[in-house]
Amino acid sequence: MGSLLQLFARLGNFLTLLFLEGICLMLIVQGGPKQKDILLNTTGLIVNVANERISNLTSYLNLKQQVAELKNSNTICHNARPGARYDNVLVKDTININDSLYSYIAAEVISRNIYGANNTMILNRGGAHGVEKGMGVISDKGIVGIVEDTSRYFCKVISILHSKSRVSAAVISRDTSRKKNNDTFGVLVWENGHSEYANLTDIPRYHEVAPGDTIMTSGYSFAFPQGHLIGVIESIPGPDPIKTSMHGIKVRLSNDPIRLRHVYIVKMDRKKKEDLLRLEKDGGYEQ
Amino acid sequence: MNSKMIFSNVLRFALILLVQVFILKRIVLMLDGRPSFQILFYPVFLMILPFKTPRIALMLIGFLMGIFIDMFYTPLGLHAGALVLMGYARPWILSFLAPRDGYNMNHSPTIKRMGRTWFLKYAASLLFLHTFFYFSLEAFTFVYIVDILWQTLTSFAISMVFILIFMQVFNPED
Repeated sequence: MGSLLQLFARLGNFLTLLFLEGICLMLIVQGGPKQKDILLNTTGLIVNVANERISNLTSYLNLKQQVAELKNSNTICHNARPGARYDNVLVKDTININDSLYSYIAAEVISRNIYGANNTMILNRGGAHGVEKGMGVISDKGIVGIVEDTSRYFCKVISILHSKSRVSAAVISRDTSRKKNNDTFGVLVWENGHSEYANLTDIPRYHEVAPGDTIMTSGYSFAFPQGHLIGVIESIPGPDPIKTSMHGIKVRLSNDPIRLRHVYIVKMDRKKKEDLLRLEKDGGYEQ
Repeated sequence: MNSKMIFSNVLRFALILLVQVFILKRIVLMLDGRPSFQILFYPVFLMILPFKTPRIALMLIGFLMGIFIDMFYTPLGLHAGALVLMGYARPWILSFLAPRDGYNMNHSPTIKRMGRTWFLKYAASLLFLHTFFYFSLEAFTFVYIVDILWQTLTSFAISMVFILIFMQVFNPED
């Protein structure tokens, strides 16, 4: 026992250093449920409320730009009103084809961690407002990310600028002579790099793509409806370094997910989603 | 350490924490959408603790402060890890920079007590260690050594400016 105490007196400082650094490294590496719980629940109460207050104060600073953006989306809403269009839809069936598949929940970004390879943000809408894990998040200019976790009043969003982010994306050719490749689709990923660019992978090299082609959401997921703008092909430096039969495509994102404030959470109609899931699972419709 | 000193240090702890997470973090975000640098101002708290603070206390205080800061940044443990190492290294830097007749153990390493040149050398060594370890820990590999060095240098320079402004304006004695 005595020699143990002696040892501690001699090496105590160094052992404490190792112990504390060990805890820190564990916290960093883990990033698992423990960190998520602490982030969303424990600090959520204090930090998010404080963040929201501060965010409210600082929101006055760029009020002008915010108003312009809101006006823009208001215009889109007005355009979509039934009265604003010439109605030539024929009633073909008893099924109401105007039934909406997706609805949108307006939300505001109250805090963001946009440093390094894993960019996330916290929105001021949560389970109480109907937000669920896996929902997509968009803004006026393009897609923003996917909800990773929710608490009662807040949700955490994995931005498309995150090493874990995977978004199904379709290429729309600008050149009409290549229209036949319209249905090409791949996966949008992002590596720690510039926030304006992402990479599009899994497009086979026999498909012709060219700089200037538009990238949109493919609709092959529950998170995003089809046809939301993602960006434009900036350049095609060459084949994918890992999967050499695929294109390596650099995409200029239309959105700037790290400066946004007003976003919309995409909510798929629950009944229809369950319906679709059942079809995929059982391969048939249960009456 | 008398009760007045404890009180002023607790107050300083809280204020530096608030300035770091509510002002400096936001300044960085405003200047640069996805920042390639950080303003790390809070290490100044650990720097100007009294000379006689034992090494183990430095590490524990560093850990506590780091965890508080980390709650506002992700991932948890990054600032704490860097600050604990800085606390461990402080006695070495102090003994390296010791004047010929030693330190007065009741004082603190501040500009008022030790002079501007000495403090510049002292703060720069500790802050460089802190920023370098912080960005290494953040990248978690030395593959991106060029990025790490570049981020370390820019953040080091900007943080140093903030720390020196703080020391000049408030000029704490202990």
